Amino acid sequence: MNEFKVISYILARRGDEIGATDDAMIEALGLKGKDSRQQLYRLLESYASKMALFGFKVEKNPLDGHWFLSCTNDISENSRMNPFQGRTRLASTLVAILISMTCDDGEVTVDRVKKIRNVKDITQDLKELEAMGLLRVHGNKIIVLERVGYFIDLADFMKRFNDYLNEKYK
Amino acid sequence: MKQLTLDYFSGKLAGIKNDIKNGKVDPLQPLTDYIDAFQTLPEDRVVKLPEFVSLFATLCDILDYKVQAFKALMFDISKDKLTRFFQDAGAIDDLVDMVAWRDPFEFTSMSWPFVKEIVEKLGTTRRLVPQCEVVDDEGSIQLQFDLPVENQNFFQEKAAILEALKRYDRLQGSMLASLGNILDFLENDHDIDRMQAFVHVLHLIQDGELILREDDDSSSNTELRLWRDGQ
Repeated sequence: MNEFKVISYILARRGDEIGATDDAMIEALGLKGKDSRQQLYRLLESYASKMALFGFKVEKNPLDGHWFLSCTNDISENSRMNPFQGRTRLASTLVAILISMTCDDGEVTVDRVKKIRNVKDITQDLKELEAMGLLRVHGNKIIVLERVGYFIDLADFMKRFNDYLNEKYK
Repeated sequence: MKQLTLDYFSGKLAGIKNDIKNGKVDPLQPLTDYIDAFQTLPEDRVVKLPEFVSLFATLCDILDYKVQAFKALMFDISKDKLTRFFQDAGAIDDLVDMVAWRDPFEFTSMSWPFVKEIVEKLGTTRRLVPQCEVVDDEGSIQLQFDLPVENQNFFQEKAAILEALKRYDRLQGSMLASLGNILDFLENDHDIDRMQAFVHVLHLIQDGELILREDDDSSSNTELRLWRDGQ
């Protein structure tokens, strides 16, 4: 097994957290010295350029600082890759939560999300999203967890949302 | 790669900052220029880090632009349009279709201890074997290179194990020793990892250096003897 194979494994580790942080990768690869971080970035850069040939890219979850592997934009867009395939209601609830999180002042609540979704009950959706490790529910309060950052680029989402509003409500 | 001075790098960062400031570059996009500029610095850039303090102000400015850009993105959303969005029953479903979801790639087949062991082996000290030479038909050397190999060559290790077994008192003459005894002997007297020793024993059986008891059956312990004098 060479360094690239180790990186592949580390970036694709499954669990509450996917992939690994800079420090975890430095330790796993046995990089030493003051420039270990630079060595890591050089390895990652070289690895990413080679993996791009196979349709993979290296991304970082800004919410927990973990590097991980996902598909390149052309592949994910052409194949309409979606972790919520066939579960649109889950995706809708998560999007409603993200909108409430970024646009409302204060905390995200179950009542507010129900209102945004325009449905009477989202209990089952919340349970499933909780099981996916994306959020935690305490009574009426919803706490979004770092794992969301693996499934959606929040900055890109905000841009798309803004563009959507400007296009639809001119 | 061209080696650049600190001043040049400083200028390059200032250029990036100006491009963001003038709207030529989206501050929210990862900028490959950062990496390109960093890569062109001399290799001892980390050692000279204290000298790079003057760059921090520029870097902080760039970071500030990024933070401001993200804040602006959130405040740019019109309250009026947001209200209309919340009142529009089907809007959320339209929006969901536009989201660029990511599906992280995950493995489950390898355990973490296994990978750690492999990684430790990656760090094994290596030594150089005698230089390799590529010669042409006339015997002239065309190419010379060093081939890095593991600290102890597999074949050398196997030969050393065979020599040790030849001196093992339970394998003298045509004596038979159980596999367990052989592994104990190699582990206790020669400090060879049991699994490693087992692999070498398999290779020695395949090579014909060790012979399984002819009437061996699965109901008894595996017994082996050394091949000696053609028998």
